[in-house]
Amino acid sequence: MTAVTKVYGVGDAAVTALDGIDFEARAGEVVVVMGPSGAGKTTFLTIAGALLRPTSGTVEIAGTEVTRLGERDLPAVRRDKVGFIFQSFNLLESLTALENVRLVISDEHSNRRTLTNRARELLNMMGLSHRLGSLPKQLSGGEKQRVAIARALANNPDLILADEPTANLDFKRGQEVMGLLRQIAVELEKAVVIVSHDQRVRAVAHRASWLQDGRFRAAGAPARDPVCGQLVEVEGAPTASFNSRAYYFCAERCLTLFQAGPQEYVKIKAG
Amino acid sequence: MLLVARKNLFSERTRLIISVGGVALSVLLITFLLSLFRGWNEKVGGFVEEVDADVWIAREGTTDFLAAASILPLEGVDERFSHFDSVERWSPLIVRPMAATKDGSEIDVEFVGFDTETGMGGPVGIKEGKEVPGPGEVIVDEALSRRNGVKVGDTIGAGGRDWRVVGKSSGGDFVAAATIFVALEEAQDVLEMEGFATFFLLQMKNPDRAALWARIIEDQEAGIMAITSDDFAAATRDRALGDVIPILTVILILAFIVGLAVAGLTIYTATVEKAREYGILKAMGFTNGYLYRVVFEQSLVTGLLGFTVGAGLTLLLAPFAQDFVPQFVVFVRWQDLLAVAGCTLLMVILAAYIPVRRLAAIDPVAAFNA
Repeated sequence: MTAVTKVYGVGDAAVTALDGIDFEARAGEVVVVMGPSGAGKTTFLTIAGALLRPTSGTVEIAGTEVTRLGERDLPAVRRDKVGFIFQSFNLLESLTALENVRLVISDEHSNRRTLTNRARELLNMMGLSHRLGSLPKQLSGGEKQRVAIARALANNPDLILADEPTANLDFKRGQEVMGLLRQIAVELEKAVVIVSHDQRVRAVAHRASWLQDGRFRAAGAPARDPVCGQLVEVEGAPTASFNSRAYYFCAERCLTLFQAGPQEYVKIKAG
Repeated sequence: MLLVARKNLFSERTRLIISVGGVALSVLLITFLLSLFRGWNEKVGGFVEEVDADVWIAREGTTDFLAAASILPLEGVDERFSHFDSVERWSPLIVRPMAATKDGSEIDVEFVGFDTETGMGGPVGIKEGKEVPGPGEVIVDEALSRRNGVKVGDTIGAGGRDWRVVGKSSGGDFVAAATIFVALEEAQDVLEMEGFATFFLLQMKNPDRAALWARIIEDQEAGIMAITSDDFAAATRDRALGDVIPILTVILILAFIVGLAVAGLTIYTATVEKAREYGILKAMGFTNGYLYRVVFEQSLVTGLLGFTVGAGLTLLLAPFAQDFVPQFVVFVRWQDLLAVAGCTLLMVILAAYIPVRRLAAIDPVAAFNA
């Protein structure tokens, strides 16, 4: 992405979601994009995945400048060059695990059996060989996400975009999924971009970027807002001290609430 | 069939049953009504077409066979028709709609007196008993036997006299009434029509030119009308069914709308319920065209199943319809089934139209909403 800006609305109602950002993810690396709610993470992800057009700037995916393409050409880019992993898995409920993966494989030159074998192979790789015929409702959260990862890899894309992939998983399953994503990046030479609030993601990422107010900032150690619980980049955040300790807030509103009764929030945290 | 379409359709059994049932009900209703119309059409005009005559002569102003109030004098007819070389032979026929009685109950009949020597205008076919009625004897159409239980050997009242049933004929069912046949002289006697007839039936030497000769006869003979058998049958059908057709048409349209509404609503709600999944597919690179095909295939298969069930039920039930309701004379034609298949196709295309519009509006970015 080069100098990408996205503005929603016009005139007084205009909101700048992304403000001239540059971003690059290379094959073989995991990049995590973190930031508070409303920072522009989803906008970033949807533009990176050729789902949304930027107001200005250029987006290139695996050598294709998608901002130059017409609407008719974008689905093919998304299908062949990008793999999506969603927060809530987004598997098709009436399809089995195998069918969910098989469905998205878009090799017109292969026969049905070859495509099914490819889907089976991907699911085996995810450790789901015993779950091929299971419907999503019969799978655990971790299994669903592994099916979703297999689906994202179905067309051997260069770029994997993951939106909060661990948000609906417990600690152990989240760790497993993150390990899997790193393994995919390294062993299959994919660029994996993860948007997440989860601090654990930082541990497996090669790089971390902090997105706030539509711009990337240096990714220092974030603090947790004691009022809303959100991760906050320390630099430039509203701050207050209590009991000789500094607290950082995502917005003035949280700061005001904290100042009205700091014991409540500190106590909760301590408790 | 596309995997998503097949799975969406067959994973929701109840919805599938409702939508297929709706289309099937609509198809059943449409095919039954069409078959009923065909059946009536066949019966009502059938007798006039089957009578061994090319041209019918009646008093001027006569509209059809059923409401026959024509009176024609027989005197000098031989001489008048002898001027027309094209006439092979002719025969008088008396027809009078009336109520016959059997065991105290009234039966609507077309009382027909025919010349037993020529046989013209007599029973189209004989199913049982005598072919020619003698004095005091009557041959009844099998429809009377079926609907009113009249059997050979029974006695029925008609025209103020009792008649012994000596035969059962076919081809004289007019649905609302049926023919009973007596000898011409008997009919003249009962109806006090000595020297008169209702119609003259003409057989032409060249039946292909019957229409031309009908016009010539009509021009040269004052106070009469001459009409070909086909035209007279059409006029009789029009008389009997003309008022029914608009009602049938309205019911057919309503049946079509019912099928369309059921199929459309179920497919639309299925599409709305799956809107998120369609958004996911869009996000993953599936084109609108693919998604339209998914919805259209669901609609098409629903229509196909509905048509198969509806048409199958029609074919299954049609032979027994008259056993339950004697007037329910149905005649299922493959051409009508083909037309109903076309209607069903139109129904499913229309049913898929609104859901397809809904699909076009789905934003793939919504797939990122948790």
